[in-house]
This record gives sequence, C-alpha cells and structure tokens, in this order.
Amino acid sequence: LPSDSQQPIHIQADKADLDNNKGVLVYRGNVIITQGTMKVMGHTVTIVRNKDGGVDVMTSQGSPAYFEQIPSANEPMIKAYGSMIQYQTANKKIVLEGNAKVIQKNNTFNGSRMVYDTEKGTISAVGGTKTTTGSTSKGGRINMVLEPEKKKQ
Amino acid sequence: MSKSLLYKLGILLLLIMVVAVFEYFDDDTLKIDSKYKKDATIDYFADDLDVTQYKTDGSVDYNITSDKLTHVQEKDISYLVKPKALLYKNQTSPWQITSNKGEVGPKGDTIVLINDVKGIQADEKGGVNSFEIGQQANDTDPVKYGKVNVYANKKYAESNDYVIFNAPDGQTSGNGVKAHMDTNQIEILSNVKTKINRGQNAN
Repeated sequence: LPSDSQQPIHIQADKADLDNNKGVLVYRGNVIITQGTMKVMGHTVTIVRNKDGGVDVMTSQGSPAYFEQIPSANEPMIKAYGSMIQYQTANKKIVLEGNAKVIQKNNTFNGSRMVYDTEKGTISAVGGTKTTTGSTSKGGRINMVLEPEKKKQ
Repeated sequence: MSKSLLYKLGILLLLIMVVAVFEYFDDDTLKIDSKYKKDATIDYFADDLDVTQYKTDGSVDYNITSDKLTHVQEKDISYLVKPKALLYKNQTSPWQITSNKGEVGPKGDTIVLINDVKGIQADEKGGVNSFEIGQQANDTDPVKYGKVNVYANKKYAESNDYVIFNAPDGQTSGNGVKAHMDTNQIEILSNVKTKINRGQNAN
C-alpha cells in the first residue's frame, strides 16, 4: 500500500552485522522483513540506510529471494521471485535478477532481469542470455502468461 | 614400680594423647586455612574509587568509579562493586556503562562486567542510544543476569547473553554480541530482531 513506506520496518534473522558508521546492516539466515503489507525474504539481506535513519536500498539474496506487497487497497497482492531482489526506496522500484518472476493479477512474467515500478504498477523485463537448464525463459526471451479478462455478463 | 614412676608415665601418656589429638585436628584446620589463605591475599582495597585516564592531548580518555575495589594478589584480579565507566570517544557524548559487579584482570587488559550491565549515550543530535545485556531469571528477581568481557586495548567487547540496543530510530535485540567499539560495528550472533521506526524516506 502507498502507506507502507511510512510504517516501521521489522526484521528477523539468524545473525546480523551492523555497521553503524556506514549505515550498512547485513542480516543472514532465514531473513524476514515486513513493512506494512510488504514482505521480503532471503538468506542474506543488506540494508543501506540514509543519514536520516531511513532505508535507502534493501537487497535480498536467496534461492529464490521473495517479495510480496499489496499495491493498493482494491488490488490483489503482487508476488516476485529472483535470486536477487533489490528494493530501491527512493524511486520506488524493485529490481529482480536471476530467474526473475513476477505474478500480478494472475499474470506471470518471467525474464532474467525485471524492474517493477511500485508507484506506476508497471513491469519492464529484459530477456538476457540463453538459459540452458530447466528455465522457463526460452532462448533468453521474455515470457508472459496473461490471463484473459473475464467478460462482464 | 614406685608410685612416682607410675605418676610420671601417666602424665607422659596424657601428653602424647593431647599432642596426637592436636595433630589430628591441626592437620585439617591448617589445610583449610592455607587453601583459603593461598587464594585470597587481599593486598589492597579502596572505597569510593575514582580513576580518570587522560589522553596525551590532556582530554579525558575514560573515568571509572566504583563503590569498592578489592585486589587479590595471587590472581592479580581487582573485584569491583557497582562499577561505572565513562568512555569518552569524543568529548561531547561519552558512553556511560554500569553493572552490578566487575572484575579487572591482570594488567587491566580484560574487564568483566557482571549483571545489570547497561550502557547509555546522548548523541550529538540529542537522541539517546542505550544497550542492556542479560535477562531476568524470573519476574520477581529484578537482576538481569549477564556477563560482558571487555578487552580495553582492543576496544572490543563480547557477550554470549541476551542483548538489546535502543536508538532514536529503532531497536535491535538478539543472543550473543561482538562489539568493535572503535569502528562502531556490532555482530549479533543469533535470534536477531530489528525494528526501524522510520519508514524508507521518512525524513
């Protein structure tokens, strides 16, 4: 939700390395971060804070890393997967890399690299190189599965 | 045998018994005494201790006060009651660290802070940073049992106990901590929970 970014951020993990001088927090092991309706999960999450104490960038790595959020009150939750998910809070964008996949309103988008604009609700995808083993991205192309809108009776 | 001889033999026997009994008891009591004596030669103690260490430029490096210091010669350990340390990393906002008890190791290299270990600092912006180490055994016992080893020369401290850090913009807790005081880096070893009060760009 738009109000998510003003909510407190809660983080749980097995271990943490906090560098208060640089404002860099690294959480390792079963990391779960929640903020309002947003949730980020991964095995390693790095948070870079700005000098006001807020969060500038949140980078999650996992196999896969996971992101979910309800974009607005009357929209269904959006879910995203990737080996790296980076949430850039200043420009409200989420960058996904490595078998990236975004599920929005039953539409599924796959690619090697994707950028989801949380403000505009737009998704841009990059095919990237040919993937050999068991990947849904054929020949490094983008792959979309769009569910047809149900006709109003 | 004449009466006087018998009399002398009796006295002699009595003496031997007394010595035997004395030897028997003496042996035990002496042993306990020496053990106790060997371990705790208190060669000096001080009440209302107040120690200030200055830097080469004349500014204060740290100040330590304690209700009582007791130094045990054999171990070269000083035992402190209610120690309080003011650590001046920069002159404006020192860290104040207190605990119930303390032990200063040989040459003062290691300091162990025991139970109710707390630290507090007012930062330049007027915010307050604080930490607490240890946990209560139960609701009725107010003491927070926990131990911290401080390696003064290395400006490094570590504990295996529960720790909670409070800062103006959030809070972090966990079990076990390693703190590098010179670089302001903290490792929390398990069960980490953090809350950041401000959202992303709440400025």
